[in-house]
Amino acid sequence: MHLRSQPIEFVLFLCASFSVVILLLMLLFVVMEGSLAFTRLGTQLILGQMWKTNSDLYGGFPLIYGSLMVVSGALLISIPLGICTSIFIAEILPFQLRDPIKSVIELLASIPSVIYGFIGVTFLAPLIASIFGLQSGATAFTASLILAIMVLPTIVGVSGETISAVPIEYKEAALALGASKWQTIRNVILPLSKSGMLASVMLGFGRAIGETVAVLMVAGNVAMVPTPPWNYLAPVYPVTAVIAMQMGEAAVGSLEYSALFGLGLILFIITFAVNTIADVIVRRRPVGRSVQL
Amino acid sequence: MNGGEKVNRERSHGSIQTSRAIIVMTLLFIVGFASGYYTDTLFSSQTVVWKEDVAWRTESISISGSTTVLPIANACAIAFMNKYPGTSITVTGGGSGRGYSEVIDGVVDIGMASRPPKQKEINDAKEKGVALWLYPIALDAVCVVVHPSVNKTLKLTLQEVGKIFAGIYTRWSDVDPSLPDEPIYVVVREPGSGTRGTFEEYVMEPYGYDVTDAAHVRPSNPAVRTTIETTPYSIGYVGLGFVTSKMVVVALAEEEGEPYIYPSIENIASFKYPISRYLYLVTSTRPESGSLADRFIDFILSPEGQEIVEEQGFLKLPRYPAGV
Repeated sequence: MHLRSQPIEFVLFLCASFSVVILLLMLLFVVMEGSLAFTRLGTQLILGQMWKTNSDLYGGFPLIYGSLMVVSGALLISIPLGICTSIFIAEILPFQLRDPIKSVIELLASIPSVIYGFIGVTFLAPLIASIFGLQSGATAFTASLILAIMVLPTIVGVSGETISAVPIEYKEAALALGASKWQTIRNVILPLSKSGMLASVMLGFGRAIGETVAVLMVAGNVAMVPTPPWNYLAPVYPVTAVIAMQMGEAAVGSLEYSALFGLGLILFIITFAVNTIADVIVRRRPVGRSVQL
Repeated sequence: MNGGEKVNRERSHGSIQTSRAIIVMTLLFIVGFASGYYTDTLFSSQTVVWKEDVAWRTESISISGSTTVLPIANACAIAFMNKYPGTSITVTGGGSGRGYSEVIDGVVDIGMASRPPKQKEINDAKEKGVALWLYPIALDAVCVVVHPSVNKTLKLTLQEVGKIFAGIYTRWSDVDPSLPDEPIYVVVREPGSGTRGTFEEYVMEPYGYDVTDAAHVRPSNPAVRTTIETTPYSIGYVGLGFVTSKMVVVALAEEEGEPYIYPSIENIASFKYPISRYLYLVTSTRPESGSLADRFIDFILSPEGQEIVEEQGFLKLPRYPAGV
């Protein structure tokens, strides 16, 4: 028995280590390709204000700012929307309707991102242009809206899970003590699933900051920090869009090529940090602690 | 304990049966392939064909590069594959820079380019030990286009266009007081695009201008077209084949005082229009005579192929190219 199971265990081990090895190799590759940019440009790659390929200027600040701006805009929209939706589905919606509604929201995740881009370009951008009286609807706000819809399934899915993970006894106890439905949600369910919700937001962040195609189509692509910096109705040029736009053209081994990898590495680090934080938060299981009503 | 051993024995019995099945299946496969091969050789020996005439009929090649040339290559590839079923030609975009780099690296068989190679690309080719072969396949013009809201007939000198794209003029009324007092929405292509390269070579570089930071970057000719069509007070540039009725083509003059010229067929063919250019297919060595790549290039240069060039909105080569 033991002898026969060993090869299978080995195969399973190979499969499991495959993704880890790939991750390490990718990290190594990105670091190696980007190292030229980091040694030649230094902090200029992160803090430089000018991104001009023609004159070999690679200042990534407007691009990184653009990415963070679009993503925070998206989260500002999708966090309240997503968490309210998940509470509604888990607690208020009649039991029979929960699964159909959940799968409809999950369907949002299966729509290819180009389709979001199309809708953004042909419908949302003109709409926003006419509402705000803009020349063009390709702005940070449009990109944020599209991204908000794209990360919604992640937020609703993960925070929905944590809400359903709250033990039924807690809810029953609260209701038996005379708490109303809203009091139960506010004082029992929300505190218990807080960390899960935070994790869902972090996962949504990771999804949003890495999104390329839809953002490239609607963000407007101007490599400048908007004036004033909080002006969401101005175009931005997120990092992923720059990389997708210029990678095919950059000569292998050139400074441009390396700078693009450097930007990729910065994105990688941001996403990695956020995902790790999310992971740590999820691991701190909330259920089982006492609740103060 | 006993029960467990019994189950174990049964399982090993089962695995013997499985391995037998696998052996039988493998044998069947081998027999199948062998017979297929045998009948294949049997039939082909009956029809006599020249050896070099069959090889290309089942070959496949890939093409990548300029999005300006893409519609021509695509339409020609479809026509070619319809004519010779069995051949396979894959065409992808990416820009002239990608066309050159992939041809040099041997990733694709043919590159598409809307500009001659840069010195850097020639050096790269030398380093890799290949020589770039350029085949002009069509004539094209980079057309400066504006949204109809600017003016229905707009005439500019190259330097004025340069000032607009450099951000020296920021409002249309700066260019001419009769134009609307609205901000100019500048649309450009990504660095590496052949259209951008040609445009900057004629319009920006002679005056030492650099594209403004406020320019909106679009990844392809169709993307620029959509942006110009939908954005009031916008200006951009596209290849001739991408001009539509929803935009206004600007007449250009080399200098103040020279005539303003529209990119009409005669003006481009005679190179009177200031930003006229050739479109190219590129290979890394001269393709072997009779190979699919060779035949495909011949096809585009043939009257039939040049017909497709025209259908796609570009210009035939002025004279039938004998020297290429």
